[in-house]
Amino acid sequence: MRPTLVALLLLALTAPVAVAHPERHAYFPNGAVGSVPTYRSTADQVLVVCKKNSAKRIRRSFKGHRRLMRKRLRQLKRCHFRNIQAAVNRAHNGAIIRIMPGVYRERPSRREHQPDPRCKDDYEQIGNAILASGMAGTGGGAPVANYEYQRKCPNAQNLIAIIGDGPDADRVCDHKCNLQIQGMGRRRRDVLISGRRTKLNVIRADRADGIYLKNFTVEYSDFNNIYVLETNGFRLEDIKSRYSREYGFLSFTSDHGLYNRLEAFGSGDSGVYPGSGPEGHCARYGIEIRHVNSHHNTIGYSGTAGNGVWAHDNRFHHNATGMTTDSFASGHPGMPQDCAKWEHNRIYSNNADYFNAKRDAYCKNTPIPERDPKVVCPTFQVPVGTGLGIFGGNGDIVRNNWIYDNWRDGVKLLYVPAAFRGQPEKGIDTSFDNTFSGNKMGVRPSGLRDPNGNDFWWDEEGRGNCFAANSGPGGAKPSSNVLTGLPGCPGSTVFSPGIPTKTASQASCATWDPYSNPDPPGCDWFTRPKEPK
Amino acid sequence: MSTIISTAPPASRAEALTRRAVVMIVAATVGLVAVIAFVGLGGGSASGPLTWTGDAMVFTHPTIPGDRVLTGKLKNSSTHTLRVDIGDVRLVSSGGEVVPSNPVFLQTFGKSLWAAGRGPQQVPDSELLRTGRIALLSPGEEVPVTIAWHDKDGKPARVDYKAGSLSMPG
Repeated sequence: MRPTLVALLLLALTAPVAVAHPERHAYFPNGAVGSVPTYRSTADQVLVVCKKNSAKRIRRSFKGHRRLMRKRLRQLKRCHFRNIQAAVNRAHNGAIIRIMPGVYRERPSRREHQPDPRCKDDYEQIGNAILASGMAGTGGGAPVANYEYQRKCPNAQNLIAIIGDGPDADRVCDHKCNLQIQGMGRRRRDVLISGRRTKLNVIRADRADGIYLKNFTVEYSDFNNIYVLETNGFRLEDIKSRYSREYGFLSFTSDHGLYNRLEAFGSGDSGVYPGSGPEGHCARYGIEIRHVNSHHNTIGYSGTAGNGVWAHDNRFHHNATGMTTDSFASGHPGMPQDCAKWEHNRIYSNNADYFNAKRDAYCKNTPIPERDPKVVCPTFQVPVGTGLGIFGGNGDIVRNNWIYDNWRDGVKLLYVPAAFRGQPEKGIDTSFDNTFSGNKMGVRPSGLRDPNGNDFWWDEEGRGNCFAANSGPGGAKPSSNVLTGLPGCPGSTVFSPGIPTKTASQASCATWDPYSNPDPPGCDWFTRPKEPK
Repeated sequence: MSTIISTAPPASRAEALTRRAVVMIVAATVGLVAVIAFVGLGGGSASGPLTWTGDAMVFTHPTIPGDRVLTGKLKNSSTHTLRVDIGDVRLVSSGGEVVPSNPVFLQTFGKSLWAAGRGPQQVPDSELLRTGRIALLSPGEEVPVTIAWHDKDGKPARVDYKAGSLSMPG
């Protein structure tokens, strides 16, 4: 076997998990057990968190709702905590934590240092050096905090940490399991959890099976506003996320999850991110995403290895790109991506111009701590003006969506070679068996014509991909960049190697760097297309 | 088939037309093979361990008429393992001037693990390899490459890569 291949195989075996960002080794929970948590109104342990002005805020918010106001004021009398983390620390399995109206900055957590010298030995390495022989070296990696780091120093990286697993090897929640943490305001804006970008994550639920977060607003993380990792059973509901430097809501190697009635905006990467999703291989969809409104992010929804996700009845609009799923990262559980099902979504007007020269200059020249957190600085590159992109996916279903007013492409289907994940022995293993059917292209639900620049863009690589019963305004045939026409369903069983001028026309975009190469030659992604007539 | 390749005079007008068509097809095929071979050999001249392999091509970007894209595969034709850093890959004009360009050892899009502004001080070799910033080739091994440039910046005649040089394909 060739030395380089050996090196890459070793990498595949040893490379840690990543979400298009560095993360520790992560593993799927046991998908055969577990469930999405349901709402509970009582529990053996109920903990109440409040601020000095919570009573005043309750009276203001519940004005005109006297019964509820009285109830909240009664509940407020049981408040014993000023910070949410303090209540989490006191919580047993199954506890309900009620957060009264107020602004929660979690000052004790902010004072914790990152990196924390108490946990200086709790790191793993991402990647490695490669020796002149082509073999993988033992050093040269980049350090990332491991689970022990989170367990022993929970607030170094996280404003609020719900760390469920004890110091054992099973990776299963032992304590802080089945917590329900809910804002008690009349509206989600009544409870604000504010990170001020002093921590990577505002809320981290790590091996915290059964976590249920509800009814508040969260803002200003450096990485994720809400981060659910290696968790079996989670529910995110009635939450507004705004102005995260990277992700609004992110789940990773987690199962039995529900994203419900969420709003996400102002994220430098994605509003919602169901990455490394359940490996149901189309037999089951372990994460459901519904009634989400994700807008004014670089991407509305993305998911590297976003497997087993059923996203329906959502709106992804006014982002640079509406939705993506991909197979980009090395060592990522669940690669290559497969089996996302996207139905009845509205994916429109994704033309946010976050890569123009003025924004480039601002983001390049303003140090991160000095930036206006409300200004989106893209942390990854995307094709501006794109509704939906599958970049290396298999068995995905895109059905009965409304896809309109995306000035470049409504849908983009592009393959990713396995070598890009450090698995050259797998050759080409993506863009197989994706189905696009019944989508309304370039037309609003009202029937008004609102065209995409082009409806379907495909590099023509893959096998079994098919397009059926998609229609444009007045039932017209959708447009595409495939000169011979899009294949109907079922797709061809013959492998197509793709069109080199199409695939290579995307390659230069890989070299984008906002500091050194914001507009690489040979890449058209960063110029917003003109609105099609 | 023996009739078609016969040197004897054609027995009929139909046979004559058939022979002429076959000759044209064969000539076109030979020509095409010659072009591909030319491309495959990198325009006929190369120094150093890398050679073009397969159908390397230069094309105008489909939506940016002023940009040119070279894409193909490079093969390590030497007997030793070779590392090439993307920073050492340059387009050079026939007059020896560097043509500003954007090379990457990929043939389609891919992206880094690290978000903008969050990377480590030293990106691991494994990540550089995966994302097409370095190529590490054992003898006989191939790697894809794509190089884009603005046409107004010059006419490249060759690709330099520190350890050698290749003619532009096509």
